[in-house]
Amino acid sequence: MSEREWPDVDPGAAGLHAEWYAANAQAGRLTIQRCGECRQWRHPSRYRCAECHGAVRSFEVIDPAGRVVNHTVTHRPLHPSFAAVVPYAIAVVELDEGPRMLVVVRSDHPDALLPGARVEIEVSERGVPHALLTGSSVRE
Amino acid sequence: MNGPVSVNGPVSVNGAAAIVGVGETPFFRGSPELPVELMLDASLSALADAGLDASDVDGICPPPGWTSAEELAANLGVADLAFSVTSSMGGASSVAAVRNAAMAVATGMAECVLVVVGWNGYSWLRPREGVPMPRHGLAVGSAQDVVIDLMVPQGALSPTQFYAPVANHYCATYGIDERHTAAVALSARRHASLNPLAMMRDRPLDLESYLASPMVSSPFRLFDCCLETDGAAAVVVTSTERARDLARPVVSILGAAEGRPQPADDVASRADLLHVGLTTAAGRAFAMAGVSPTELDVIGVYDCFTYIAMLQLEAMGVCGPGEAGDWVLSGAIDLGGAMPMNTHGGLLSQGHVWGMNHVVEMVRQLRGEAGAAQVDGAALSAVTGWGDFGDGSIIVLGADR
Repeated sequence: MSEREWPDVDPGAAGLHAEWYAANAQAGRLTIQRCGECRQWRHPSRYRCAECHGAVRSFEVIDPAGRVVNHTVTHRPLHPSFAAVVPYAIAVVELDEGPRMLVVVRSDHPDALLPGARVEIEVSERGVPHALLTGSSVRE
Repeated sequence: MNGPVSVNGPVSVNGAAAIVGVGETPFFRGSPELPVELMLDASLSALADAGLDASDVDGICPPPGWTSAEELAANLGVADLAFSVTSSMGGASSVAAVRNAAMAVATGMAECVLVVVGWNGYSWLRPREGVPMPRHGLAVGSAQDVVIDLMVPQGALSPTQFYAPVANHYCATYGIDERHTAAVALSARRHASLNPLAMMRDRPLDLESYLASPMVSSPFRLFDCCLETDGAAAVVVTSTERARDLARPVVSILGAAEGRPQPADDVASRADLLHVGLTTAAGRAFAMAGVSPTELDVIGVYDCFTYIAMLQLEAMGVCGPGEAGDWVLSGAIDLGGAMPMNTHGGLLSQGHVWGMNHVVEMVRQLRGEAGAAQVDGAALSAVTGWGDFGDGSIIVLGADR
């Protein structure tokens, strides 16, 4: 858990990315785009499946559990929305189902984060994801 | 060889085109001039260096933003603009643009192409009285939608954050640490001390200061990051045949290529974080040039960050995978070393002019005009570009003696 006041970001996205946030918001949990033909998960969202060229696509709820592949700890407030929470960690998270995504890890001890840490992805009311540590932050 | 060849493959630019003029503005912070004005100054300087006039120009390759080929042509008085194309590869655009110019000349689409880049890289983030803002900014690159829609909402706005997964994976894979990256930063600063144009000319850097510099976003410390610069640089490309009739020593373009990681517009979802654009581009360029990267006398590497410069040393084949750490620690990249890198100080310590300043410096090296930073007998060079999320470009240059 995190006791910091994390920003409630309005992603202001367009197109497929806006559809993704909307799908997350509607489901109240993480969704990922999935090919309607070969069933491949894909993120970021695309218009066509690069595996089978299928055009049938939808966002499906996915198991939100995953692990930190690697991460950066940002010390400078490079975005005003996040100025109040520096230092904060942004990680490449690999979901257990396969897809990878860049996501902020809401931790009060970002410098203690290590690769391999188990996380779970939650979404805000606007559908913006963030990761929470679910176990020890040390390498498994 | 004086023209395009087509032997067992596509038409090659090998040796058909040459860089005959180079020029730049001062590099500084707080420009009283717009980027287009800086670009015009650099363009006129490059034309004067070549002994050519704007009336000789029939092609312009402008950068992705701030101006257009048409605006530059109208200001320079180019009567017949027969060719124009812009590469949109972020920082890899400059070297790709030199390649585009070489292709145009090699195929006869144009005879004399001006390649220019310039911006207010410091001032655009700091609006203030007396510092004009261009009406048009940077044109949208391939990564822009992912940045705005998926990264900024995660608090990721800066290239330090975009490239951190690549740098982290590079360090973890090959045991790279701050001794190595410090060697890159300190080498650039030493070279800058010899360069009259370098923004950091009078600002020496030692290991202690490097290690004490603030962390921006791990693993990137302040002194791992390139400078923010207002300035412009330009080169003029024409046929090697015509170049031999001009005043300057001829530097021909022996090979050129570009490449992209997959997907190019996102980092996190890549299967191999160390497979960057240059990984495939370099082999194509060196094959075209018919030389090996280990034969180069001096190189320009797009040093947006120390880590990224090291990664490119491996991707371009100067070092094998995992060998760049020992390479930079050995002093190989320093003047007097096995293959001096960024003898002008690079983006880290001379200035950030989208790597066109690297092209300018390598041309000067091959002409024997690099002053205190001259590498004795430099005859073969390469310049890399890196942009967006790891797009890569490369040109191989040779002195035509």
